[in-house]
Amino acid sequence: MWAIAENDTVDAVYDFEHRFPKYQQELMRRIKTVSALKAQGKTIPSREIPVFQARPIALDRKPIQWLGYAAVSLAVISTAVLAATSNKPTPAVKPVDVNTQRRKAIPELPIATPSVPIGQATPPIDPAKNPAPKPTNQFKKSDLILEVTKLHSAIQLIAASGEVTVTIAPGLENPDVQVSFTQMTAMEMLTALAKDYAFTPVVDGEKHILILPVKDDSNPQDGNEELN
Amino acid sequence: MIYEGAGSFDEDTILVDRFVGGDQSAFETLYSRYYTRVFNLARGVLIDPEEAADATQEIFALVYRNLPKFNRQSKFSTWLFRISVNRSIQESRKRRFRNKTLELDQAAEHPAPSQGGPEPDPRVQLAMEMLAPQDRAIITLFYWQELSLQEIADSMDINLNAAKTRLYRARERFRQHFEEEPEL
Repeated sequence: MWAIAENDTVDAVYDFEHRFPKYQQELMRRIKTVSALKAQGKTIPSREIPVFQARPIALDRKPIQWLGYAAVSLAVISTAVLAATSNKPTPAVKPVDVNTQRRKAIPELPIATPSVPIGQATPPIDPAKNPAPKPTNQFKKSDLILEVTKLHSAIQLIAASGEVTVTIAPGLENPDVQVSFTQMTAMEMLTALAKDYAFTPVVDGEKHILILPVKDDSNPQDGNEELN
Repeated sequence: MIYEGAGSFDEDTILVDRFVGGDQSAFETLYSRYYTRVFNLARGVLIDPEEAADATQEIFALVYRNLPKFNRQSKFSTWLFRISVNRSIQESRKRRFRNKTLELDQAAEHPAPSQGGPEPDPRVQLAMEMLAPQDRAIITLFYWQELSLQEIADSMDINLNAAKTRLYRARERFRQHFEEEPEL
């Protein structure tokens, strides 16, 4: 039927309609379609032929696009990882000497730097303007009862209860723990917990405790000596 | 075999040999001889005349670079049409999402500027836009370029039966879209 529609000769159409009268409408539709298609080809206006310039061929940019998508994905993942890790500042990973850390943990005497140049009279101290320093939070005692929870979470909660911050050094295992402390400082709680879970809490500044995944058996009473 | 409006097989071969031998004017002759046919083919596939003109330049740039590699196992025109079909389909796929579909109303309100010839039918244009680039290519080659099925098969690097089947399916799909469009 397409061949008859394309040739569109009167005899062929008449013959077809005579033999297959019920397909007459179908043939008419095909003739219409073909003539519309052929006519469309003749409507393309002739263009002036431009001067040929042997220009560089546009490369298929698909591989470049894929590289771009890969780079963007990598950047997003890196940013996410960086954001996740930057919330928990981790110390530089290097072999930890517990004794050195413990020596560092002993608070050093502050070197007094005169606020007034030497030789000048020291102004009288106004107790109203310069109140006595408050005791550090490491001495704050609190109660803490935790049902089954992960060790890392328990350490963080202990720190929060004592209003101090902790940094857990890499390598500390994270088993389930259950704790119940009454009227203890954060350092006392951590020291007690350290006996069962092979880590050592070390004071690292006024409100910061470092958790080292090493058990120091040399002196089990150490660790909270400077606090108690 | 001679294509209407184009030079003979031998003439094309002589021009190719001259170009490969360093005669730049031979390529210019081939370019001016086949430009309109390549442009019409690209326009059939890409629909937009400006994109078709751009694609035509790219096709001839490709031919210019690769003509020394032409192995002469087929006619130059067959080789050229094969490059044209492939490149036009490739361009059409790349620009598919950028192309703005011409709405029927817009087509009716803003018809293409008349150049003195017959007016294009917006129904045909819309039906063509609905087709896949491969379907547009085979319809263009058969109805607009008036190539035989064997020439189409050679140009699309398929066998004769595949060309027949593809033409039949493309034509049926075109008719379906064409008849869905309301008559103006």
